[in-house]
Amino acid sequence: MNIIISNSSGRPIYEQITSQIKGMIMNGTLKPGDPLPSMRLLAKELRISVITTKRAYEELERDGFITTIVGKGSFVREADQEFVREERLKAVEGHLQAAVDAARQCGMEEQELIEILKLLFKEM
Amino acid sequence: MKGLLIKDLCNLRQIGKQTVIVAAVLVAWSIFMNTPQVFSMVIVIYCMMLMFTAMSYDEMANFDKYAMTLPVTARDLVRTKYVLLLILFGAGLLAGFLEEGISFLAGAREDISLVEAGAALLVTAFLYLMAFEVLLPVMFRLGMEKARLFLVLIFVVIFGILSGGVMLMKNLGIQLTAQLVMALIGAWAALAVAGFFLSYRISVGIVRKKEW
Amino acid sequence: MEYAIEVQGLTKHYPGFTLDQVSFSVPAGSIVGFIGENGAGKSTTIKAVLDLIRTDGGEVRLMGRKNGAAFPEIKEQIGVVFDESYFPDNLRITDVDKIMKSIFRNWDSAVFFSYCRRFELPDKKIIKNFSRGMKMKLSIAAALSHQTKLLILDEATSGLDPVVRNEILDIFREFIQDEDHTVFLSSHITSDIERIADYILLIHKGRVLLFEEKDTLLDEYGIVRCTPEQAKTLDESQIAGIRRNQFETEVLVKDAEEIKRRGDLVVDRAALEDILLFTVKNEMEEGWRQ
Repeated sequence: MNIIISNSSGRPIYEQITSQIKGMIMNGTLKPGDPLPSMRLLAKELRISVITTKRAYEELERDGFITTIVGKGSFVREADQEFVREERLKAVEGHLQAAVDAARQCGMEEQELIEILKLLFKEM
Repeated sequence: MKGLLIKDLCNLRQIGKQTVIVAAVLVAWSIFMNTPQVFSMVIVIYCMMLMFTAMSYDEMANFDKYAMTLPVTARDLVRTKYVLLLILFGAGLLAGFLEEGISFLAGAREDISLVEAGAALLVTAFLYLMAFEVLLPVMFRLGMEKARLFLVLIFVVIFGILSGGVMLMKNLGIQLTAQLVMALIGAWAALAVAGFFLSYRISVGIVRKKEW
Repeated sequence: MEYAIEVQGLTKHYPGFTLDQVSFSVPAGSIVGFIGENGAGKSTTIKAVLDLIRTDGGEVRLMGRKNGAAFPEIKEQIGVVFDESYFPDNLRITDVDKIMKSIFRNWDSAVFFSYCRRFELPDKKIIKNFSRGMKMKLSIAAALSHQTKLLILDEATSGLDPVVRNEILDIFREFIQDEDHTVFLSSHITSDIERIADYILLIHKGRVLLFEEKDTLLDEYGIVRCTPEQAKTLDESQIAGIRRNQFETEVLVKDAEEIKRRGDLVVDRAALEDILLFTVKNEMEEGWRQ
């Protein structure tokens, strides 16, 4: 299991952890029932705060990706298809938001942005 | 307290080895020079002065402050030093008597009896014990630097009292009989013992109030 | 036990310096980094926590016990490391083991010697011949070898080279693997604290300026670089500190995301050192205004 943390990405560390674990769950690297490393171990190895890993795990649990059993640890949950789709939708939305922000900054019109999007879609 | 005492003894181990060598040389020297009494006293003084060494090592390392973060009380800290003082006192006397004994067996002395020499040794040892009884609270309160100055002062005072006493006796025409000497030594020792407990209590009070 | 250390309204007067109503709580299972300038009151606070000085007010609880450092059974659970080794020069590692064995009920020689081996401390040499780094490692080994639950360090990593410092930080991370274990460490090396701490306690001139989760601090605080006019448009409640030079104004803001959303200002990430510098500087300027 690989988790790569960047300090210069500008994204909070807990978010980097959640998104990478979500990614691993969605692409099947982590299977339902698989155990996750303990929060303290993960914190120690990544040299980050326990509070960070705790927050990441809590987020993952809230989003239904993992379940934590007191005294046993955290495990990957049975995937909920509806949920997986929703997550992906969220990711798309996030990227589009970034594109919109960038467009605004250089004064681009809505229509212009949509044109670019259409073009990109066709190219694929 | 045991741990702290082990610390002091470990600390003095190196210098203790030197002491044994010095003592051996002194014994040989005293037999050769026909003056065992002076050297038995030197041995006693040397042993007692190790108290200074032990306290100085602690002060240099700032050990007491660290000790107070361990499961050790102020009382433990003080008690250790008083026990160490007794150990050094005992070791010094033992070594002193040993030296005198050896000298007499070697036939070095004729002008003074073994009892007289022993009495003189006891007086010296108790003198130093009393000096440290005054000094230890000073060491705990003001540190070693000031305690060194104090040591000089203490001896001036003690010798003043002693010579004053001797002069007084001369003026009053009191003869120094063996009984009187013994009584004086006894009183001297009793004073030292009483002083020991008083000094201990004062030191505990000082260390308890101390800020580190 | 929820908190390893609880300090409430701690006050201590010295001529020319006052530790003023210091309050904070160190949650069990966490690492709290204690920062501030030299003379800000870090050591005084730690001494008060350890009952090494008499205080003029306030309350300290250690391991849940009021004025815990006055009780040997509480001190059994605490390991303390100061900025230098306080073991007398003539001792060897084996002596330290012997001494500590008679002082701590739970002293574990095997653990102690395993730390010593790991730190590559020579067992034949006397401490006098140890390097500074070796002395500190010895102190840390001793502090960790009696089933320690709470580790208190005052500037323990200062004056050591980065390799040794990192080695020591790793030891703390290992120590904290047990959820009951807590570390409270002061340092003026903010980069160390930034690496290791879960919470940051910032003290300045005897007063607590900040006590916050490190992540919150680093994620939410930011530095706005702008013109003096732009600085005036910032909300007063946002500003944690200002630094001006001839060409730009730097503002430490509490919610960088909000400023970023405005879109017209450059916002950089703030390191712990920036936060320390800005807050302390700001306090000084406020002092002038008064």
